[in-house]
Amino acid sequence: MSLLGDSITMCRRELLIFMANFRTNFMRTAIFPLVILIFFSFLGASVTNTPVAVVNYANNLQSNQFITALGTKSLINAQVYPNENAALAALTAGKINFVVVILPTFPSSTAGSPAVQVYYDNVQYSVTATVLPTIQQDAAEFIGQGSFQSQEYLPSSTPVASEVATPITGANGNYEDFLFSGVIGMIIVFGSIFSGGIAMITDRLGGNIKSFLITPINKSAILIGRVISGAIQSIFSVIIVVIIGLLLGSTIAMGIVGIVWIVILGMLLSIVMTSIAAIVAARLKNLQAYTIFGQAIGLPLWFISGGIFPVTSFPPILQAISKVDPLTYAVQGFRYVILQGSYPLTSAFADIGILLIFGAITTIISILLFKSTID
Amino acid sequence: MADVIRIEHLVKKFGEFTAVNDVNLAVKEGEIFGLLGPNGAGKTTTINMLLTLLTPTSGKIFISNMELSKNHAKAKLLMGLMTQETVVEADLTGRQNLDLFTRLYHLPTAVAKRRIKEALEEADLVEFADVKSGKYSGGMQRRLGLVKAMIQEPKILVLDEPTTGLDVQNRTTMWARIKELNKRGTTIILTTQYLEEADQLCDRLGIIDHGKVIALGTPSEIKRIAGSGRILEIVVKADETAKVASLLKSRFGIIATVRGDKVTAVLEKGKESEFTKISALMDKERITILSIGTHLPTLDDVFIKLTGTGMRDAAGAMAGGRANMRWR
Repeated sequence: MSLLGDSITMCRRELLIFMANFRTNFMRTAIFPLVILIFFSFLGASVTNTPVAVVNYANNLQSNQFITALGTKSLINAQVYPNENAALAALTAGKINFVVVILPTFPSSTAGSPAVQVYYDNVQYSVTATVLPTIQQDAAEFIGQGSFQSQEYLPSSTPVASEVATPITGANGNYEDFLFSGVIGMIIVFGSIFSGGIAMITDRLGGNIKSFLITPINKSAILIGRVISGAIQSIFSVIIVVIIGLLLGSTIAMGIVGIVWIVILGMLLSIVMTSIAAIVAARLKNLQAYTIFGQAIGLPLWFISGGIFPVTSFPPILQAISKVDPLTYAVQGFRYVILQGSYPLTSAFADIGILLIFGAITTIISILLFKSTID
Repeated sequence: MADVIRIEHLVKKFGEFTAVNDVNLAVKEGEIFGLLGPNGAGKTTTINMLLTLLTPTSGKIFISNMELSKNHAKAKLLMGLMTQETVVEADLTGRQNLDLFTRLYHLPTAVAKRRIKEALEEADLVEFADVKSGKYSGGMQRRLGLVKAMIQEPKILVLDEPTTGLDVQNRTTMWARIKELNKRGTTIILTTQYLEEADQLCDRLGIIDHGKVIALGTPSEIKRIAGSGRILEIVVKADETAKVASLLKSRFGIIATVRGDKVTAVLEKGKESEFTKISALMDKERITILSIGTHLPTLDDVFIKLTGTGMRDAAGAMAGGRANMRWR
């Protein structure tokens, strides 16, 4: 029979085992998103003394009161700049994170011109998410229903790529939503490493692989079946994490279509990670060693992917390393879907294409290694 | 009868270590053939090459006159395997276990259905067919393992130490099942480190040590290697063994082997009466005898004669060689 038929047989076996241990698998998948989303997002990361440049073009009583109000916030370290250009230059240089421009008509706004215009860099997402609402709240006391505008400031020299790398416009734009993408990625990475790789080792030690090898199946099918079953199981993981995230108050800006994208990216990521797990498991003879390797591979992949912090806030060396982390591309895709609400086809093709290339390379290496181990 | 398995000049090296060293064997159709030897002697390595799990360094294997290396898929359908560790898919039910293997052997659906039904009945597991096999008792798992190994109705059943670790009752049951399968026409090749098992069960056997076949024949033929008379065994204090051996040589012209506190020698046919004289001499020389007696040659005696060590000793000494093998 064909390689495909044998792979389906092996995949079927894996899925039956998965279903036989459904409760354990459910708990394993559900526990991390629950813990991480609750602890990280609801405890909230604290931000203090964020440098904010204030340009006061109105220079009236209300505008000065507004500046004083900003200055009393521990969150904000307000500095007055003479004009907008100087402030934006400081923003570009990274000396400050926000520019608050108080326009001449303050506290009222006219058509086409708001009362307050805010620019920010989006280097630290969590900072933006906390400080921006504070500024808006303070401004609201003076301008009432008047117009308040904010936008990410992108100097013309900044390449567009870095703009899309950290999409900011979001459903409700908070750190929880930001972390949501990272947690989906993490569940798939650790799910693949721990279920796929450990099963490979226990099957080998228990003699199950030997019992398959004496049958006339294609040897590669044992591995391919496992990779396919890993991809199918990742659908289950994605759905559980999405449900938990939504129950905890996160939103997916792109809605149902977004979930389809998340599933596709998740399956591709799972193919890469199950193959990586198989590569590691191929030469290891005991579970303890594998667990150590699994952590040592999984955790850095997660940290560097931008799952917890935006990649743009990393030092250049880590940013470079993140480019060879398959998880980076999946998380990037999740973020478009969850935060931005649109997934430009060019970005989608790029992310999916890169994951496919990673998948092809890792699967081929794992098959070669598996074959050499069993002969 | 025709040879169903023929092994010619088989060699397997793992780096510097030669696990199987020029093995030649033939297994006849319908017989129970035993490969007897201590741990690490090369039994399992030979079996793994037979099952295509390992590629021989050199030499050829023929299954039903097909050269194995050129006919993997066909040959695999002719052979079933059961190992010392009972391998069942613990998370799957008995039925799912059997179903998986009908798929792995590419059996047509109708055949698969029939075989699963027959296998469950044969293993007496019909009632438990839909229970996770991990919850089965040890005996039930063994039965499932055996019918699973036979699911594709192979001509040859390979049993790798089928009774290691079993209690007496389960061992006797397993022997009965093996004999039963054999009666129905299955050729059986089994490895064992138990002499009594080889003696009881096998039509023919090969003794293997350090990767070489050192004796081949029916159990009684092999026992004759140890001599046609009786085996004398004297146990004394360890520091007196040398004295006993030299007395046997000088007074009776008998060459004895010393192992630990035990002195063994062959009393050739017609010389059995010398036992009383030897016993009297020991008394006269004031040697404290802990035990003295004679028995008919056993396979253990053959093993001592051929290798200079007993099965048990060899097993301990050779255990280290196993580390070189990937498959247990």
